[in-house]
Amino acid sequence: MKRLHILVGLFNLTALCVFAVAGITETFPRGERQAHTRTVDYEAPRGLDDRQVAEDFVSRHQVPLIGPLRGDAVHRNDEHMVTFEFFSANGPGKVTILEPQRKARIDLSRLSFGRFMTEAHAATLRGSAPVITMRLWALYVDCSIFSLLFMALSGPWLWLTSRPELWWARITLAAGAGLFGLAWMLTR
Amino acid sequence: MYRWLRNAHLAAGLFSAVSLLVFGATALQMAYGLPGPNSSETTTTIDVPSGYQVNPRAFAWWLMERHGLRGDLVNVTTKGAVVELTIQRTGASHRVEYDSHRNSAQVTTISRNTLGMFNRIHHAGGIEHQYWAINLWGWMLLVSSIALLLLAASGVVMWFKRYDDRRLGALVASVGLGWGVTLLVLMRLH
Repeated sequence: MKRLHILVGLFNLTALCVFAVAGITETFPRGERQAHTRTVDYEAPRGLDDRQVAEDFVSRHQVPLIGPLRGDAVHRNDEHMVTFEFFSANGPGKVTILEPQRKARIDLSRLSFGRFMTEAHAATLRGSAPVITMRLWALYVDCSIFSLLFMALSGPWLWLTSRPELWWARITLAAGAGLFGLAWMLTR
Repeated sequence: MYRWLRNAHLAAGLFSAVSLLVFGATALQMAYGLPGPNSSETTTTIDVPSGYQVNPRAFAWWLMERHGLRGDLVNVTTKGAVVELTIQRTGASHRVEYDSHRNSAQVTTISRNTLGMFNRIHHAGGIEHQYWAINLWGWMLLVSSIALLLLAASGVVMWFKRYDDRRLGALVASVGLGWGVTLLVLMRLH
């Protein structure tokens, strides 16, 4: 059990740090965002409708979407260019396909690093967009959820089976559980 | 040094064990859309002294003091003679619709079940809430987050000091770090 506890912890080190940074960020929320615009090369394949063009762009450029494109996200702007809004791990944004120039403009309202970590920690396989980067990350996060539960259970178990006589350990566990219970009573 | 690390790891883990279990369980529920969170709704009508329509915040304080509503005041809107506001905390929300013409308010209380409250606890961040008790959750989140970092750091050092699983641990850590950090960098650089 101890070996498993150690190995699981080592494997999920990155995710645990992400969870921790997300928690610290959410304790001291800041609304900072940076407007960020860039142009990338993109030629829309022939024969695709507007939504398919949007999905093709997302796939080719591996836009780190938090979730799939919404049904109403894709439309044509005043200049009749395909435009779609998205929400990525870096924040909300808009893509405009500049077909004549064979380019696309990405306007992003870029989140701070802390908020990025918060968005990343919430990625789930079930809700992730069909972007390979996000799918692999969400798989890692999903594994880490199980790992966190395993370690939160195996850790106290290891203590109970090795050093149950430690009085300060019992007090520490009681203090943490007691504080949780107090907060529960006051906010239920 | 190893003994100190071991005790620090144990202390951080035990203190935050309950919180981390709740965060993990609610993460699982949200990630897989598992059933569980639920709520019940009750509606009551209360008489309100005249004059509160000009100051919704004072009205909210009156509700809290006179009728025991607890929570943060949010979503205050005024539509003519009707004031709508919500007083919310992790376990319940009170949606209030006050009609100054009738001097009465309809209070719809949504009470969450245990799993529903666990879910709200997972989202309860910040330590500057109007309702002081909600700040306890913010502090617990902060302490648990710092505990996670301490657990990770002390865990890695303790593993390294054990000779038994150095190779296997290094392999596992490399795979995990490679997978996680590479994807984080790719996502962030986009």
